Amino acid sequence: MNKLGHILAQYVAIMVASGTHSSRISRSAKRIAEAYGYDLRLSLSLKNLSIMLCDANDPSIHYYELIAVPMAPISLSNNADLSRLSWEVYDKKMPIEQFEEKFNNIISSPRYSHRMVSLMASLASFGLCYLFGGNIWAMLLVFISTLVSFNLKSFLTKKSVNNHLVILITSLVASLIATCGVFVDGQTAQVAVTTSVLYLVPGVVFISGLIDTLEGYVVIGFSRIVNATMHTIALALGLFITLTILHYIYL
Amino acid sequence: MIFLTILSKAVFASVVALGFGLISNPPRRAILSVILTGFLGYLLRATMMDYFDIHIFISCLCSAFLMGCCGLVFGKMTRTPATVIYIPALLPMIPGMYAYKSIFAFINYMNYIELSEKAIYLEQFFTNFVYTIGILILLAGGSIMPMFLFTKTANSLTRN
Repeated sequence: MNKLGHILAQYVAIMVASGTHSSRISRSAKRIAEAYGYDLRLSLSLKNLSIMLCDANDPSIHYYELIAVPMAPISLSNNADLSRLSWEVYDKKMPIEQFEEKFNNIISSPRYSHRMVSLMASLASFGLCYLFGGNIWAMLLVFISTLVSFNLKSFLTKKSVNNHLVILITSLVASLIATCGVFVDGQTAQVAVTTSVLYLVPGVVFISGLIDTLEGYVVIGFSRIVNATMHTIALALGLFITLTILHYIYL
Repeated sequence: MIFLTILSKAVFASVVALGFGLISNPPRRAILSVILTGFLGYLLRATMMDYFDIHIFISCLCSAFLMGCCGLVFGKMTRTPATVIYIPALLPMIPGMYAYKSIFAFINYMNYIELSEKAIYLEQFFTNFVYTIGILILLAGGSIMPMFLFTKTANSLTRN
C-alpha cells in the first residue's frame, strides 16, 4: 500500500505540473487506486498536494503523503500518456512493479529537441504574422525575433531566473527586435511587434484553469488563471516598455 | 480569389498550431490531429468572417466549438485527451492585434494631456480590451463546451 501510495503521489504531482486539468487527474488517479482495490482521496493545489490512499473496506488503514509539485514545463505528452496508463492499469490489472516501470518510462521520455522546437516556434510566428496581414519583411523579422528570444528564454530558465521575469525579458527582447520593422514602414513594425510576443501566451494553463473552475475545482482553477494572468501581464509589460521607447523616439 | 485567401490562411493556421503546439510537448501520435484541427477551425472562422461577414465573436465561438468537437473525434482515434488536441489548435486565433492596440492606446492615453485626446484613447483602449478579453473567453468557452456536452466520451478517450 505504501509503495502504491508513493507512486500515486508522484503520478498526481507530475500530472499537475504538466498542466492537466484537475478532474482528469482525479479520475485517472482514483481509477488506478480502484484497480488495486483501494480508495483515493485527493487535495490538489499548484504548489503542494496531498493524497490519502485508503483500504476500500477499512478507511482506518491508509497511506497519507503531502508532496511538492515539481517545477516542470507543460507537457501534453505526460497528460495523454499518464491518462492512458490509468486505463491500462484498470483494464489489465497489472502488478504494481509493472505500473511503476511504465510510469517511470513515461516521465523520463525525452521532449522534442530544443533546436527543432525553437525552429518550429519561429516558423509558427512567421505564419501568425501572415494571418495578421504582415508582409514578407514583417514575417522574416518575426521569425528572427522568435528564434532569438526563444533561445534566450531557455537560457534564462536554465539559470533559474524567476518565471515572470523570464517572460518580461523575453517579451521585451522579442518586441525590440521586431521594432526593426520601422526601417521598412510603420505597418510592418506594428504587425511584427504584435506577433513577436504571442508565442509566450500561456494557452494551456489558461484553459486548464477555466475547465477546473467550471468543474468546481475553484481553488486550483483560480490559481491557474491568476498564474496565466500574471504571465500575460509580464508579457504585456515587455511589450509596453518597447512601445514606450518607440513612442519617445518618434515624438 | 477569396476562397484562395481563406484556404491559404487556414494552411498557415495549421503551421501555427503545430509550431506553438510543439512548445507544450504534445504526443507524436496527436500531431496530425493538431494540424487538422487548427486547419478546420481557422477555415471555419475565416469563411464566416471574410465570406459571410459574420461578427468576430460569433465566428470565434463557432470555430472554437468545432475545434472542441475535433478534439473529441481525433482524440478517440489517437487515444489522446481532447485538450491535448484543441489547445494548440486554438493558438492561431489569439486576439493579438486587439491586445496590441489596447496597450498602444493605453500608452497614448498616458502621454497626452488634452482631455479630448485622452477621451479618444480611453475609448480605444476600452474597446480593444473588451474585444481581447471577449474573444479569449469565447475561444476557451466554445472549445470546452463539447467536453461538457459529451462528458462520457470525453472521459474515456484514452481507453484502448
